[in-house]
Amino acid sequence: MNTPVADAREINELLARYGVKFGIYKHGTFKEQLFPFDAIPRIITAEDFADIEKGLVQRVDALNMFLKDIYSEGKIIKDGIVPEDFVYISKGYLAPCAGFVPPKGIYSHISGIDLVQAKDGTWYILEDNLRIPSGASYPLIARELCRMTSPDVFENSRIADNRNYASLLRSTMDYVNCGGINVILTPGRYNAAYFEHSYLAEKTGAVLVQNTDLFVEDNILYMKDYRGGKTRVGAVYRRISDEYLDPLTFLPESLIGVAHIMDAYRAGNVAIINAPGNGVADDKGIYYFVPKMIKYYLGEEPILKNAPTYLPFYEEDRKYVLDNLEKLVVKDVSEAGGYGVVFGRDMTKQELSDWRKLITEQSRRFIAQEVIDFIDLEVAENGETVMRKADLRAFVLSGDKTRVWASGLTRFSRQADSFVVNSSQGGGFKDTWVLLPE
Amino acid sequence: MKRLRFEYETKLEFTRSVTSHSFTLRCVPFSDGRQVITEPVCDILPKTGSIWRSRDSFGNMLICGRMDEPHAEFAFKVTGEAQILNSCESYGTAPEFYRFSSPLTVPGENIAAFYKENASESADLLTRAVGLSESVYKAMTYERGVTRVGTTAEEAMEGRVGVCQDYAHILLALLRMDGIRSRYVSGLAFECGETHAWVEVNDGSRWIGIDPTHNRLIGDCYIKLCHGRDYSDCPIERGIYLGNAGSVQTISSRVTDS
Amino acid sequence: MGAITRININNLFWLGRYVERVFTTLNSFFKYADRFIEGGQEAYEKYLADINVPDIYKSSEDFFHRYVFDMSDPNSIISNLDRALGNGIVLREEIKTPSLSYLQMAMDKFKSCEGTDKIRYDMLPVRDAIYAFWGSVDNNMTNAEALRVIHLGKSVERADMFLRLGYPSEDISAELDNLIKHVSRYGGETGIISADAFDALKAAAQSRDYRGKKAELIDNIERLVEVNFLETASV
Repeated sequence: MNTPVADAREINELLARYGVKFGIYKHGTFKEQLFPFDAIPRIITAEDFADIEKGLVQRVDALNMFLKDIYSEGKIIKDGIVPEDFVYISKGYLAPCAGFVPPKGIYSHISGIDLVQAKDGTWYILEDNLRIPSGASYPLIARELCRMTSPDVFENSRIADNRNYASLLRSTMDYVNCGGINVILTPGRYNAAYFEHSYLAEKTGAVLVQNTDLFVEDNILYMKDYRGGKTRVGAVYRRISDEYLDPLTFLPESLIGVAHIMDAYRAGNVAIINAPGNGVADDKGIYYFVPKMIKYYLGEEPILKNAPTYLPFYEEDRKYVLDNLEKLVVKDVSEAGGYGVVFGRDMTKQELSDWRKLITEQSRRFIAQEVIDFIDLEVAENGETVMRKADLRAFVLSGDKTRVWASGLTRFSRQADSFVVNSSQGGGFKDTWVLLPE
Repeated sequence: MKRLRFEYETKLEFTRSVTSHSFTLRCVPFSDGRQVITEPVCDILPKTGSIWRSRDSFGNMLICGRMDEPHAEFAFKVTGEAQILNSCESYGTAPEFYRFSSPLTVPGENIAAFYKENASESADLLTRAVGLSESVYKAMTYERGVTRVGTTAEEAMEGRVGVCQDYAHILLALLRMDGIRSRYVSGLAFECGETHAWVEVNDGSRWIGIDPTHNRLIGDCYIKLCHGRDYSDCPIERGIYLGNAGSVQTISSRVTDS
Repeated sequence: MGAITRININNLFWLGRYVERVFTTLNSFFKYADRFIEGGQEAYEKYLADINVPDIYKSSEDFFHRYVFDMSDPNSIISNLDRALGNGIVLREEIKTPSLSYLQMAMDKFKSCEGTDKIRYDMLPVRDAIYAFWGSVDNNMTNAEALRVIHLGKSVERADMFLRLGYPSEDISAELDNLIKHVSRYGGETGIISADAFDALKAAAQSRDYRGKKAELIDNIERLVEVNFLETASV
């Protein structure tokens, strides 16, 4: 089953030719790198995917309800399910977003949920990305190219065609659009994900813009055209983070934001995708509470499991963490991209005791998790097949209903003993095949 | 009840012409249970570009605008009449976030130690709040030029020196440690001079104004312009522009009996 | 018709110009390389003067190599191809991925030719890729206005380069006519045409006599399209 679709070299050459790159900054200079592609696909069976799909829809629906709740009444806090300390002093909680509901009540339109599969076959949620999860464009274009180089493979397999991502994205934008065109707001060519911004603009028909192309008047967002005319914008898929979005509401030094876009947004005249303020629902501290949210809002049992997680914030958990630090992985709540993650098993005696002290002193800042022994995937390397750690970023789109894209970004570590799969840290990617039911 | 006439003006002189100037002003007072504002007029110079109204999530009235044409001076002037119905309180409830620290009011060692020394056991929220305000008033020395607009409560507490904004931030940090919902207020309070800053605490149904710089509840000569969790949520003027220019700001205000 | 941002108009125009500049200079360089076989080395100095490129080269061999392949020489053909590619990368959604891939292909092929002793043969695929680029642009671009602007850039560059390189006056006339046709068909609509430069060009094209007017004509061509929208931000 795990046969390569084609010579990885062929696909990587095609990826280079199609400009599939991501940018990184090293020692202060910008470089574009190819995202190494591995030709052995990850295959998810129809049965597995059916569960994953149900579980992800449930999870993202609950997260959207959570966001709506905490930016209005905060019932889940009043009912004692989520402690207020994990909401109102979270870096991601934005008071300027309180007291009003975004178009159609949707906060996380595009959710990137990271999962891993344990050796016993169980899927675990690793983290939720509800701000600007990136990466969908890579498997999207890789599939296009693989079908070009290896049509025979696709002829005889029952693989869900993943090239509907653009139309899913487009209908999500259209659904929340408040009147006017769709635009994708990019910080510019020197952003790590510029390829993705321009590719998704091409595929969805949205206009790719930078902040200087946009302005607000009477609480309506417009795009300037080159003749001095203006076109109303009804939905902005913004690929810049919350703090840079509006220099008159958030960071005043932002050079990539749009002045008064928050006024247009609050007036209900434009949809911002994803909604600002989502950071409060996807930090590693809130992660602990997501299964409780599912029960609270939906009255259902969570279909997908969290990795067993401990919050040193709770005394009982703290005691367990301090006693078992050697076998746990500790994560800094506010860090992302594979940073701020340390394994107890790699610590010296001194480091263990330093960490115990730090965790005790700053109990809100860290979570600890059991290390999941997740499956290795086959990766072709220099003519051999080697085993590497990999995760899966699934993309969930919320519009008129919540849909899971039948594919995803499988990222793998390129070092034998590493668990870190992030592209910014040198990881590669695979296509993800979801098999259709027999 | 008291009737007041107010006049408030800010002038920004740029060292060089600027363009693409976008701004948000929180300079027009609005009516609440305590003050009724009649006929507020806001004049903005130069008369170019577009101006419109908006509201922020804290409930403030905003004047927004954009001026693309080059200009070296920017000024706004608000005039109007206020009826002060009640000297220090208005009805209203407070969102949860007013109970938690905000960017400029995160407590550090100094605030924590000060709170420990000065917190009272009283069961009455207002007694505790007024007590903390008095402690701040006694511990601090009013002096201009030592702190900046971005100075945090913790920094000001450490130096024990500051202006009304710092007094307000320190009091907010202490009130929130005490679990009291409270917000920062900018407004006009003197016959003439600059703007003033004070604090409002919420007891579940009322907002009550406390002025820690003068160690008193606010009186019927106070006109509120705007509020937020701290200064950074509700500057009276905030703008961005293109052009490598510095600026000099002149502020004047007048509040008189009418 | 879809909306186009000001920066994209600027980029489209320059994309058309740079791609065409690579193509025209490559062709004229090939002519030079052909003469080089029997020893027409000194001709490169006149060539440089014609295209208004400073002679920074130590010898004809140095010119032969650096003018074509040296990315650090801002006047080299590869530098212009790099600019074309840079403009293309920020126009993916406008020109579409296949068109961009031909520019990338031209660049990859171009680089692989460095050091060859049969440059005109080895570089044929570079020219093929540029031809394919234009074919792809015409077939894939969905925004008619954007397509007109990229062709406007191409036409401006051709007229400009033909004049500079001293092409026969029939060729120049044909390019000027072509440019005038472009502008009169779309000029009013695009709103980016300088009226007086256009009038001057029309008069020159009618006279069919370009002797002694080369500099003035080039100046009018350079002023013809006004796309200086680039804003530099500082706070």
